[in-house]
Amino acid sequence: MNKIHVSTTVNGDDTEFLCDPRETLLDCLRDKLNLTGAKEGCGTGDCGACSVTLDDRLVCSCLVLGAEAEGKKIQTVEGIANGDQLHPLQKKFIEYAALQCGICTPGILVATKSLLEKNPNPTETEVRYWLAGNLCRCTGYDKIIRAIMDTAADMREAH
Amino acid sequence: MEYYTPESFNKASEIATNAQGITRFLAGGTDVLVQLRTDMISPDILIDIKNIPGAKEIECLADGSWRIGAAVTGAEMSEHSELKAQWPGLVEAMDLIGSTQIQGRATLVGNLCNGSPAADSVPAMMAANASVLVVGPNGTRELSVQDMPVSPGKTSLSKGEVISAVLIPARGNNGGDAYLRFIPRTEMDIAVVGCGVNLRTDGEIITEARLCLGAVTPTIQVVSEVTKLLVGNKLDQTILDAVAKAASAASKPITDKRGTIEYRIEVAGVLAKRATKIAYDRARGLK
Amino acid sequence: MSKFGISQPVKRFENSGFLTGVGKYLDDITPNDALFAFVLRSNIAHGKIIHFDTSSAKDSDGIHLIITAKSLYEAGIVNEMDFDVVTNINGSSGAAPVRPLLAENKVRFVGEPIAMIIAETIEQAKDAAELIELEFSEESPHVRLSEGGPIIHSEAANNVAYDWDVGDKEAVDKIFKEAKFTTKLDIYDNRIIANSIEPRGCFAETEGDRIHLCFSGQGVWKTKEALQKVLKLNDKQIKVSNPDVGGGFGMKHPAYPEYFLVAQATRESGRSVRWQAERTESMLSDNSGRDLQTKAELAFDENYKILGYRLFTLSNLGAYNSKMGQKIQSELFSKVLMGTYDVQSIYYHNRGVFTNTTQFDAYRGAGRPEAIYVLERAMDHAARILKIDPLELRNRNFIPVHKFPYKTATGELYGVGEFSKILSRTET
Repeated sequence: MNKIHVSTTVNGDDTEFLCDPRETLLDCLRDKLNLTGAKEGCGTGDCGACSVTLDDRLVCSCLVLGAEAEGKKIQTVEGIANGDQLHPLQKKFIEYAALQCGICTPGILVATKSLLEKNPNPTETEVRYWLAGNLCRCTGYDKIIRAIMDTAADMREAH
Repeated sequence: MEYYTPESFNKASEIATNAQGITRFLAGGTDVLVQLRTDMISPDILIDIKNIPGAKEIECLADGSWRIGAAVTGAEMSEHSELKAQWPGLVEAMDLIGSTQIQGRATLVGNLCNGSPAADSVPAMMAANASVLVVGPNGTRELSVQDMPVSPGKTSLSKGEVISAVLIPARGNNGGDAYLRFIPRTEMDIAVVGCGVNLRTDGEIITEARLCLGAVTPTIQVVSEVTKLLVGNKLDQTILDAVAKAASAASKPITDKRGTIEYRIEVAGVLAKRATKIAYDRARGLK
Repeated sequence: MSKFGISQPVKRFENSGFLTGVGKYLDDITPNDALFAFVLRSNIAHGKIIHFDTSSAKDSDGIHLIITAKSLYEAGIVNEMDFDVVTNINGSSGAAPVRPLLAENKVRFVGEPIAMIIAETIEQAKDAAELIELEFSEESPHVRLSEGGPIIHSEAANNVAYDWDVGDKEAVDKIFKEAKFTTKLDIYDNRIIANSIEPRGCFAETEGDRIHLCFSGQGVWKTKEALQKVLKLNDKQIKVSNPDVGGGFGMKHPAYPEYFLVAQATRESGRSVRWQAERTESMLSDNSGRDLQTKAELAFDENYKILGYRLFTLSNLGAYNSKMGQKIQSELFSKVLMGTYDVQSIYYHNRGVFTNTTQFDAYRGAGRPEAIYVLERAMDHAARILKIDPLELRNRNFIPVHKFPYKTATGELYGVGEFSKILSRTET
């Protein structure tokens, strides 16, 4: 089978990989670039654990082909912290215990960061609707929402 | 599987025309990749249309009508303030599909070509009297959205044909549209009933009206009875009740896990009433 | 009052890895060179296997091994999974039909494993699965939560697996006969699928002379013991580990057939082997929770003090006894039977039935949330019938502070409790 050569940018770094046309971006990130932060929970765009941004647009990487990443800019959970310095959102998630098993957390962080970049002052309802495609089976969502609302408030103040 | 990224719709059509085996066009991929993943359909040829010039453009033409490229996503429509101001029902219908992540990829054309009787954007497009530009081996034709669905999962497109854009008529004066959907929860589900309404008024009198129902018939259809009831009349309670009755009468649903036949028929009437009221208010500039 | 002492929130040290995308869940640490395992499962609920032939599948591209019930026997493996049984009212043991790792002659639920295919790639394994010749003679299935119906195991007449009780039936019956008021509630607690966001999975590899099985689970020792027994290994020959786990919920607690098969595949092939369930596979094969129908009765005196509590529950076991299956709606349910109320006269009768559905086991609390749900619904229901404030009804029946430490009717010892005080905080 013909392999496709893909050049792309992941978390600011130029990178390239060879993929089978059927392979998803999620497969390519995990298996070819060894970025295992994005998780596969369903493979059908229902759970959001594989969320990444593609040219600043939030998507499920399980519903994007690796080949579609050609020339695009990809951001994953691995790019949120600045070296050892956690992003304010990550710090709040620890403070609020907004995660338990952690498997949905990368997707939720990527999705939330994308929201706060578009809308630094979201209402709770807006946050809940924005995250409707990110399923969590541990927390019951409440602590996640509170951590996000508090992060947004802090980040607005810092500006 | 072979993956193509043609530079024009003519080229895309040519690849599809000459293709051996199962062919799929890829725009947002929110249906195609799920089918691929779950082994429902394993395409031999996949034609990605997103790199074609114009495929991702929303354009207001000189006559006030709109041309929405085949790869324009729901999120891009929602972010287009002028389109949203003129056709709020259509934009809201598209916005109801899936999560934020799905909105970042899903398209009107994909929703239409998937052929689901419960597609959210299709009743709104049909109510708006939208059409699509079809590029095929024998040239380009314009096809009314109303003539697209044939049966669940089937459309009237033939081999080698690809949709390049959706055309929405000029909004014009005193027009308004609305789309409402009922689902068992608040987000991320498939319509039990969907209802799109588009109408125009002259003062309090309705002069044009189209109401379409989703998820209650094998293919999404215009309920012509409602047009007859509304045109030439003011919208009062008696007319609204008659609209509800006509919508329920046009519903031929099935019973499944989301709702029974009786329930869907009832809800169709309720949504028809509510959506008509919203469209009427919008047409008269009240909302 | 500031926070002090035990039971106060603490910051977890393991969170930062989860937040930066460097958690080590199963699929993040699976050996790169591992072969892929795919499980061929029954697509019918009940029937006999009348034809089964893997020969053309074995010859297809990239196939290393196909494990079947027959190949397990040939390798000297015990094709049985371990489970607990309860003691019936009549003193006998609950039905204990064999739960095979791989079905041999009969299949009893949709999703039951029949063969495991080991290949270089997952696509090759799936393609080979399609080449396996498999024919069934279908039998009508028993899928409703009820006694009777087509027989699933000859060991369980009327599909009743066990018939268990606790309490003094005669004494409680007498209390109900003489009570001022009695109330009765029928209540159904529906079936649940755990749906951890990380599906089940495992891999096995060779570490020197021993096999290492790593699975997304909730503890290693019981699984290690079970592996030793089934694969006939001593404790030096196998190591079992759990990596970071993306949601367990009790569902990932017991061992599943795939873990034994993957370990065996590594032993036979000498290669690392991985198996990762897809979402649909999880829906079909993960242990379910709940699915019980209860009749709950309360007897009261003229002051609305509860005199007795009497219940009957019919519960679903699925097609086989899972590890804890029989104990959940019986022994575990009864542990919190009377909740926070001071009542010593109870009678709980539970019957478990087999159905042609996926097996049931622990899920989030395992029997105890079910018991509390029934009890508190019965209290609300009684308050409505007796026209008394539901909070008042509870306050009259809570275990009073001076009675602690308190031994419940089902033998549990409660240390402390101020239930009226806690309830009062919900009123503000």
